[in-house]
Amino acid sequence: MNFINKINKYLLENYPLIWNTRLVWMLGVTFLVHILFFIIGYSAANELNDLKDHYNLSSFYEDNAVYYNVLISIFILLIWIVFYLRNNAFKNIYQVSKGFLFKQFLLILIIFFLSISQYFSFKQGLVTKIKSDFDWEQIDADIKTFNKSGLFLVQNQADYQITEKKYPEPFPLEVAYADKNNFEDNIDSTRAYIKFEGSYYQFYKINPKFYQDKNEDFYVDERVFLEDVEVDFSIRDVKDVSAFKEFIKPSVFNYSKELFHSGQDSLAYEDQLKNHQKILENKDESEIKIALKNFLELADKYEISHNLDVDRWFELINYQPNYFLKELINTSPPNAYRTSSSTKSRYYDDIPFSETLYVELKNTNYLFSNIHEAYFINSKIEVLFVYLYCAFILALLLFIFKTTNLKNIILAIVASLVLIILIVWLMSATKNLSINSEYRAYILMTFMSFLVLLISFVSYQLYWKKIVISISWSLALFASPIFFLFSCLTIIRYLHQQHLDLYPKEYDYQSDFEIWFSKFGFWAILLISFLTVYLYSVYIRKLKARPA
Amino acid sequence: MIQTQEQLIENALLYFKRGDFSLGYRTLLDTALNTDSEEIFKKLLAFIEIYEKESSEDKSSLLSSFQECATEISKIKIEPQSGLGETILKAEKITKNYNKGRFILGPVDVDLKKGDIFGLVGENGNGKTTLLTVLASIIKETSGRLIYSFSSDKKDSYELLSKLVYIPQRTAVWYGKVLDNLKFALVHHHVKGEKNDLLVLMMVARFGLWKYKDLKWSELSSGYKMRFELARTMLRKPEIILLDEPLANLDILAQQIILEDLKMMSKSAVNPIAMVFSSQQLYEVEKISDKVIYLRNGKPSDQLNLEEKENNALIIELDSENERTEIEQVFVNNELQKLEFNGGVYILYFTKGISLNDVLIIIAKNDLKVQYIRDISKSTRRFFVY
Repeated sequence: MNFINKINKYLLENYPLIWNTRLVWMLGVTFLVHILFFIIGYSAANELNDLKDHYNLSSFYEDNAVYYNVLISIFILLIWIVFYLRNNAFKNIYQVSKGFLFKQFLLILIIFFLSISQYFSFKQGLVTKIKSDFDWEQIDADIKTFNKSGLFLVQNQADYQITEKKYPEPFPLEVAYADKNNFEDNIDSTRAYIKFEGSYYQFYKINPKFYQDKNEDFYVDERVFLEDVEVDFSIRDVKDVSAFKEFIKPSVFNYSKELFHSGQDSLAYEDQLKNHQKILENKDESEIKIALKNFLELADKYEISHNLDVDRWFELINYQPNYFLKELINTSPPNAYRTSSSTKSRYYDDIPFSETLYVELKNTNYLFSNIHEAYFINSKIEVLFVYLYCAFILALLLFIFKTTNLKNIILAIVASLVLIILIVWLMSATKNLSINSEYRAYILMTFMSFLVLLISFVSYQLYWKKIVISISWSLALFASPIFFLFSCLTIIRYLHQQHLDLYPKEYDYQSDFEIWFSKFGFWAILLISFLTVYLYSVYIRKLKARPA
Repeated sequence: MIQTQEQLIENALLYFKRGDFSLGYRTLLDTALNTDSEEIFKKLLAFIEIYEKESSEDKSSLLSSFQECATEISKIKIEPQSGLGETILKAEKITKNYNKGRFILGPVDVDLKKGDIFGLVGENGNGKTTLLTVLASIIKETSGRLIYSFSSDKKDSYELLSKLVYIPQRTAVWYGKVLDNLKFALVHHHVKGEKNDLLVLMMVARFGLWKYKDLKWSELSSGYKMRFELARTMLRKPEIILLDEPLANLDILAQQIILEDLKMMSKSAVNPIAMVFSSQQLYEVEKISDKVIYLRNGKPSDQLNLEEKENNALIIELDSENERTEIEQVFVNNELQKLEFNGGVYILYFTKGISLNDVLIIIAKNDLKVQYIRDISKSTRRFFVY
């Protein structure tokens, strides 16, 4: 205690602002809390299954840690606010410099940010632990090994349909399917089609050029798959794939998925597809068995529950020469869950599941994506934005209270509610105007925030009542960044519309301003916010000295 | 009357030798504070520790230490304060309207100089607080001009206003340790480090708060709260102090001490302060004030034509066991113009030429049983008789 008293005495007698904001103690306490959350993060992933439980590292935080965080933050901040509000140099009209209030705001912003941002320490702890436990190069090699053998893990029948086939050229292709009843509707009989086991199939690629020529006003994405709508055959760029006719039946030859995606690029994928093709075409039993053996070794390494051995598995899949599926491997122990999930085929009968065999991959993909995220994906900047702005808003509310009074805060809240109601009412009142609703909202928000700024300016210039001025200034602190944001959005929308008027198909057009805003918009808003607080801190001083 | 440092030191020694220990001690502390020297503060604080621990009422055993301190203090030369007697606050015909003109304060003229103490008296609801808050720039006057002439060359309105301290009747609560509050005030007025600590302790001792410096605000009585408030005010080195009813809710002893403190603050040799304070304690206000402003219905006394009415005539306030007729009989042949009884005391109005001493002789000769008598010819008390 003696030590604390000494430090406090020194700060009070030399650095009153630091003493008043309890900055030193808050830095100390928040540092300890951050260390605590780093440790919680570090110990959050002790087992492989911990990493399989969460879709990404951020979702780890959805466990208890987030409650601890909120509780600890509230607790620390409440105690701090009690101490911080004890003394007020500004309200007592002590001699404080012009920059005093702004410096004070910056300090309380730092304190708020550090008090609520334990998330970052938690995640850093988790990332550190993951990096110490897993070597990415090894993980990457293992994923590639998994993916090379993945084609034999016959669990989901849909993955083995010809629609999924991605190699060799001309695959992948769309498929039009018909029986003799709707043959004319679905099959362009003037071009190549296949008749197989009483049904008709036509393989084609969608030709977006044809499509656009026919529908000029409508922009079509290449990916749009139009199988179920009444189709204009001219959009079909039909391919004759009668050589692959047999693979209309579910076959290992059709499998083109990546078992695990994390950190895998298109080259790795191409490599995998070539490898699949090679291993199936060679029909080398020992080679296949090695692939299966590798898979099972890795399954044990990554604690994937299964009851396969190389021979039983090989027996299950080795239907040469076409490797048709005869039986599927369960995704969980068959006794526990008899009905293993498999997306049913629409072109071919269901393949039965094995009575005994299973491989329980569960969420092993989460494990790999989490490790990949730990190595390569930094915290999303948006998360930083959210925390920064939360801290900013909290700091601003406290700062307004510190420089005005409770009455002002309450009336400002009431005034802001009135404004919100007014905005909502105006939104619905202008519904009939022939303006896009998004655009209308932007303009309205720009206008209303401008109105608040205008009132703040006019009220000060015309010597309105001090309470009115301080309420309008409190609102202006929030209205200023809102005005900037919605002005920018309105301009972006306007430029976009202008461009679309000239080039109707370029819906994805981004103006230079929009590109700038998406890159630096947040920082610009933050800068505007700081500038507004600075102006406020200068003028609230003048207002304080003005008689009521 | 502002005394020089040498006179103050001389008086301090004289008081202490005579046995007026508290007065001597406070005067010595004033002289020490005037030096603004850390060395002197350290020496004095060592003496303060001993003085405050001395439980006996007779503190003559501390005389040698007291004299040592006085000698040390006298070695420091004090520059006489410049600008003394210059007008610092001038209010010209200021008015303030309330309730759409139902209450109008003024027009009031005030010419306040450094070292002046103005008392502001009047019944409740007659505009005392309004006038003070207008003078403090807390509320805006409806008309007239208010001119401050602070010695600071700073133009910033906030900084100028920080040279003025307004103490409302209900002072705000201090949170945390009282000493921390004092230090916090002082450090913002550019006194940092060790000197901050020393000066705060000196001021605490000067205002008789040494024993209370470790208490919380809620543990202090109203009188001590007001003294802490004054100590804080002094640390801010203001040029104008405006106090609204500083004597309210204080016992008679506390009132006397506060009044002495106010006088000391105002008449300081180093930092004389212009002061206006309102109060209901007429005689006490008159005792220390250079000028008394009496307000009735928002109008100052000089606009009420009251002065002329009783111009230079003797007015006596008298409390007696005798009947009204007896008193009338005694004075009727002695220039008595009018006698009024307001239920408590008699007010006797005499014609020009009779003095208080003449009245006292008549009372003695006629063996009147007088409990209380006061000459209120010049006092604002004469306005409060009804």
